[in-house]
Amino acid sequence: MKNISKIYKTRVSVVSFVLFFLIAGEFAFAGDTDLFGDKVNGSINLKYRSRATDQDEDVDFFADLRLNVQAMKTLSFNLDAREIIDLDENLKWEGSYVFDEVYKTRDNLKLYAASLDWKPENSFIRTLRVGRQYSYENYSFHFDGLRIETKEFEKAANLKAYFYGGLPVRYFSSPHYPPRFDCSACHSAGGPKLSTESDGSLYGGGIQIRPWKTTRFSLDYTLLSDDTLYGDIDTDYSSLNVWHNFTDNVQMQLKYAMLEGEGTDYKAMFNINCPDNNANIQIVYFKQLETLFNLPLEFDPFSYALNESNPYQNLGVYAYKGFGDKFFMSFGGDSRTVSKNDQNDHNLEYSHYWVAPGCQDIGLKGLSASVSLDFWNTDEDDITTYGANVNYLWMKKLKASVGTSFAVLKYDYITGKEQTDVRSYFVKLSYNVTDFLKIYSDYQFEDDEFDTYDTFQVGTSLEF
Amino acid sequence: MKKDNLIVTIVVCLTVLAFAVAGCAVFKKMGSHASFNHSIHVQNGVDCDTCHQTTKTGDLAGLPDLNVCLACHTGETAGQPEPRVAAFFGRDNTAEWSKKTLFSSEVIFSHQKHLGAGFACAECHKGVDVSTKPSGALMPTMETCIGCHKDTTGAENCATCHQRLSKNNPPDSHKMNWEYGHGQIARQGESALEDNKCYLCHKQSDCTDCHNNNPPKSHNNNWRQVGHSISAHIDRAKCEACHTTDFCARCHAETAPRTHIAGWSGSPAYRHCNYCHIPVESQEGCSTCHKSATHSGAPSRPNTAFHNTGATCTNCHSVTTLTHPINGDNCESCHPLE
Repeated sequence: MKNISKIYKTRVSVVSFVLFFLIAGEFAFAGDTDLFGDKVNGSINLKYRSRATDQDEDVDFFADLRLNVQAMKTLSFNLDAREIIDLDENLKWEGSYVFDEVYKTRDNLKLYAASLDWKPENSFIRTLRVGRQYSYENYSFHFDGLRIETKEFEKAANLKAYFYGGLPVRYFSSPHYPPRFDCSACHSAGGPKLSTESDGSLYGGGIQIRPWKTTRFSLDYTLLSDDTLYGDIDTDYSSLNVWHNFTDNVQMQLKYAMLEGEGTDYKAMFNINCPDNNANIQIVYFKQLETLFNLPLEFDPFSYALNESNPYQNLGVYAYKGFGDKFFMSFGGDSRTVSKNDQNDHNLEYSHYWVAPGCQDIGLKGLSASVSLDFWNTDEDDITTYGANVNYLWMKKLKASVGTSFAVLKYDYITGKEQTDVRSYFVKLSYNVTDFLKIYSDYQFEDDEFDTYDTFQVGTSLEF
Repeated sequence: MKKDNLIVTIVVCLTVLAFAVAGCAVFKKMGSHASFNHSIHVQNGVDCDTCHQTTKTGDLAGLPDLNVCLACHTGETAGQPEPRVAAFFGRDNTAEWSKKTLFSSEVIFSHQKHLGAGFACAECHKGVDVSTKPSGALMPTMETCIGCHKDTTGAENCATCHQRLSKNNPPDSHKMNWEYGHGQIARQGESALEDNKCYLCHKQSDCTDCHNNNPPKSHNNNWRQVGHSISAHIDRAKCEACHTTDFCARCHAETAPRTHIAGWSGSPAYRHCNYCHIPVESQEGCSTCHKSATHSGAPSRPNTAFHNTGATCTNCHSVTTLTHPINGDNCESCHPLE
């Protein structure tokens, strides 16, 4: 049965590729993608990936579909989905399999978005969206449900409101969340079949006003009800945000957030653009006020693997400067401080610096190169990475890239200072057959203390 | 660490100061344009093209020269124009557009074509007839243009108004390490995405597509097996851009670490879970993966007089006879009293 399944999947993948090229070829040589007119647009991406070490191999096929259909003037449909087909079916449950991953090495269909949008013309409603969707207003939520957004009421300081509600989308959860490692008590050998159904609900909304053109205020609220192994947990999250443009080139954002009625964090961000000097700088200050642990998924600070997240403050500076048309450099740093009592293995103080200079059109038009250096330092662990890559773009059609990177990871476990070196090399090619059809391929070689890895990918993309 | 923080703080302050000084020069230049009262001129019957003489014949509206103003502002002594005119022109008798009221040269626009098509000035420059000083608010926004040019919405028709900007030639902001910096903009919410006009070139599915197909460069095979734990220890907040807790939980529940191979019995100590998780007896030890069991396969310590006498376990259970490496001398961490 397993061999039949493998043969079937391989045939499906090959047929998909062939069909794709037949269809795409029609468009390419006809020079026309308006088969559906302006009412239908989107993209199809197909990718084949092969990975191998001396002992293990992994072959997967990826298919992405993005679709937007303008059914009527006020009605549209959006779809964003990905199918992964595991062509080799190597999953060693009782041993070790180098490429065993949560979803990239097994059959998996993910539906990221499938929603119907209604935008009435003569109504206070700006958009009504039903289906699977993302919401980015307060926090990033992925859910199945309904969202309503009103238009701005100019006579009321451009007031607008939005409301949403539904079931959170959680691809990796199960009703037994958090999952038990010893699943064989309930699940048969061959691997646990964890359900991905969500057992929770979320509701939220907010208002926003823009009393003058350069300033915006928003107040947002979300209530998340989570059915966990330990019982139902209700968590509410609210935030107050202020955005202000001092000038066209200087922006500020202030944010204060509360969890369960208590202040949880605040953030201040300044963004300064100097287009005449071809420069930009962003300064971000963030402070977490309380310990976070065992929260619903959307708010949880990875407490399952890292336990509680203790209060800290972080200051980050990110900058870019162009020197003429050919040289540029981006650089920045982060610094995090944690109180002595709150420091432990998973709550560390650190300093992070990085710099990435580059150049373009030096000697040959279309030729660009950049190097990067990234350095993380704590009292216990250090990470240093540096790399370089060279790109060449020919006639805006063919792009070739080669590069290398080296990482040194120093960590302190039971035996004292440990060090892992990781070296990788890559070469990439991308060719625009037409403005809407692209094919690409890349190869990467990686060498660490465990193995050497060869990764090969070939793919194609059609936009219509 | 405190010294490092001080250095960072000093560097930050100097950098901000440098940009502020540079910015001040920009601000000063932007603000140096003297005020001009359109309202009074309109009330006195002055047509737009009386001063902006090239609107009907050229692309740009143009600014009047000194003689145009002096036609009305004859004022006092010849050669010494009225103070209002003097303030407008400055010492060198030239007027300059304020950066607030000037289109980028990258934008394609012709006053002649629009006026020839019958548009009135105030249809685009809303409020100019009642304005008392120039401001950016008098300039039409992109939404004003799209209101008529509805067929140009979407990246495919950028060339109608833009010489360079298009889907293949992104804005200057995208050159500034945009892969790293766009997250701060994106996290400001949907209103910020509209303000920055991301929708002109991007759909929401573009975010999903890029995050799916272009993981950070650090996410190689070593990262997946070992490296991510070190980074997560240092800064878990960075992971939140793409991952949630259940992703970690699922993988940790299903995927054995590389060190859990061929070493569970009789191999060197570093194959035991204490290679990564220390101390074993704490919450942060084996319970990272083994959430519920103290050690489901470990026999408990018999509750017998012999085992309660305080004897050292290794006197009988030596390293050579055990089926697993010894985790220090605290055997009770895995073998609790029966």
